[in-house]
Amino acid sequence: MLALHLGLRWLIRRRAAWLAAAAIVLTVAVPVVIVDLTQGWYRLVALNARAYEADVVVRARSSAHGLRDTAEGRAALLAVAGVQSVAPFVESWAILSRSRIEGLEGNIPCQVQGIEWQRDAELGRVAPSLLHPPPVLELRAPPLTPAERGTGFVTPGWRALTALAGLHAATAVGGQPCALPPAPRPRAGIVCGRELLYPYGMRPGEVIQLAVPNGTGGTIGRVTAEISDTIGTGVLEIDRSIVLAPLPLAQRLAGLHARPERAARVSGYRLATTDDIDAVAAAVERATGLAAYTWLELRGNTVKMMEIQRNLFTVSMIAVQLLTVFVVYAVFSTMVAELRHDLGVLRGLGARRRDLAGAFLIAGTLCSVLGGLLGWALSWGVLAALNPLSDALGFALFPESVFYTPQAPTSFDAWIPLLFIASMTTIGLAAVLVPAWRATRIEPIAVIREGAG
Amino acid sequence: MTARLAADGICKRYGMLRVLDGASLRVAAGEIVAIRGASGTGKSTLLHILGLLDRADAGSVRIDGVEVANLSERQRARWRARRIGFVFQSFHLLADFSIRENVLMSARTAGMPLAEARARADALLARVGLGGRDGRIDVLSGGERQRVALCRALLPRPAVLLADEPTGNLDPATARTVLDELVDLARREASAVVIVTHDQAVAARADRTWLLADGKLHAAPAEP
Repeated sequence: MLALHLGLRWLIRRRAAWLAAAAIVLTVAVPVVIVDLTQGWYRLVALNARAYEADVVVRARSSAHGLRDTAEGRAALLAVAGVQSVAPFVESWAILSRSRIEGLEGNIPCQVQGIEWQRDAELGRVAPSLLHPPPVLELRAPPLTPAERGTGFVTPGWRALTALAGLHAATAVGGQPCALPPAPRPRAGIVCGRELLYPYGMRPGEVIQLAVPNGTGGTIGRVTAEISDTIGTGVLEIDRSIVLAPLPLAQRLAGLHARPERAARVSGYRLATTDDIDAVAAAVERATGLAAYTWLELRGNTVKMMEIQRNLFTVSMIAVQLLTVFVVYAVFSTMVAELRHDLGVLRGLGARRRDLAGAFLIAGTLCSVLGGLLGWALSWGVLAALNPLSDALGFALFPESVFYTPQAPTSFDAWIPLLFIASMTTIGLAAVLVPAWRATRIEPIAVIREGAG
Repeated sequence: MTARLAADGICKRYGMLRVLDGASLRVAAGEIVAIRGASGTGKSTLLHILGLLDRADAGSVRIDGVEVANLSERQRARWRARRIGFVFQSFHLLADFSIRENVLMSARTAGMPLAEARARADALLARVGLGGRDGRIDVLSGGERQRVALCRALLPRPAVLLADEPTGNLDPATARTVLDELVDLARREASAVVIVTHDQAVAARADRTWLLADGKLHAAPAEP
């Protein structure tokens, strides 16, 4: 009790202790801001990488020609315990070029993914929130209005055709034939990554060609399609290279379409599950003999890289905190020197050495914990103000062209400040040990003799 | 009369200088003893040895019949906290604490129950004319500070009260008041009181006066 009483009083009354607390506030606040931002960035990358990936991806083990896409094959996958939905896909690198009608103005490499829209929607890969976003990096052509562009694979032409078909049906039912315009011949719609389209001056509505070269000057497949929509996943490498196409179109492009001598083929299947993804992948491999990969195996390196970066920052910041040892040590040594008289008198009054040492250790711990809590509040205040301040000043602290994120990726994870407060408390306590020991070495007789005059 | 404080054959030397050479003293409960002597004769040294702040080279110190001279450092601290009170010429109050907290500090070091200590502190402060005052120490006069120090010394009901020039820094009128309170309170608490002083007036208030010379205590002749 005596130690607590003395420690609290000295902490409040001695301004030197405030200096130590101020140093601690800063050495907690700055690391928390930096590591919380890194954590936010890590989470953003992990979310994006996860969001546009399936839980498990199944591919053929060795065949370069994909898998036979049959109803039995899909049923076999759905029969595996834990598998909730199955979506086939065709994957191929291709060259995107403008239609011959408008003249070739350049070839753009892209990654074509043939999908069944409804199946991918069940996996959450083509969510409405991802569709028709403007580009982040460059906008050379203005986006079309909703009426002018399509939605998903549905081009304006297909929309008009659907409307006409409905009109035809209505007139047939009503028995009142009327003159209808001739039905247009719509092209297949494709969805392009937002960063693939606009930087080349293209926009939805444009007719393009996709071709897969065969390596000998010819092509494996060539298709003409109309860009119906754009997609923005938040992952730059996807947004600047992806072209989503209807599965049959992609099969024809990649030479995997049905032929008289063989059934249509796919590159693989994406599976959704709510169970443990590693267990489901293993079960699929056992049941089908196919190769199954979890999303972490396919895209985990990006996430792990960010995780390592965050951990390195954390360790570096703790190393920076270590410098506070000198401040706290100096402050508490000064306090012991200033309190030499009082310490001697207290020893004379019968205070035990451990009471005096305890007083300094308590003061050091409280200084670290309270300084740390203030640092926590300060750091989260700064983080909360970061984006509004950036918007108000019109100054992008985290330019989208560099970070590919609309705002600073702040995070408010309590473990980060708690970690730095814990490390600061340990450091503070270590720094106080020697001054506290010195306080117990003061001989009361020496102090009382000095005061005897 | 049984001695609360008994010192026998106390010897102390600093290098070649022999300060105390077999000083002996006995003080009964409620008795007040004054020690006089020229400067540098070892009065304060003897007081520090009696108060277990310093160690004698030889001799024994007993408080209530218990030999305390050779106790460990921890035990000596416990005895100082619970059984010995000090009043110094320069007060030795703690600047970071208020008047009441200074008085209570001896209760805290002695491990007294705080509720009881607070009541006793208030009573002692009221007795010396400082009742209801709990401000900062640095606004007090010298006499008031010495009264606070006296209350601090007497709070744990010490067996022995040691005062080193308690009125040395005070004007004669204030010194007289403080001394009256010291004598009165010490007698009420039945403490054995040893006062080291140069002041004839202070010595005159003691039951017995000893003169320290040549390292030994000699009974002082009665003052006219």
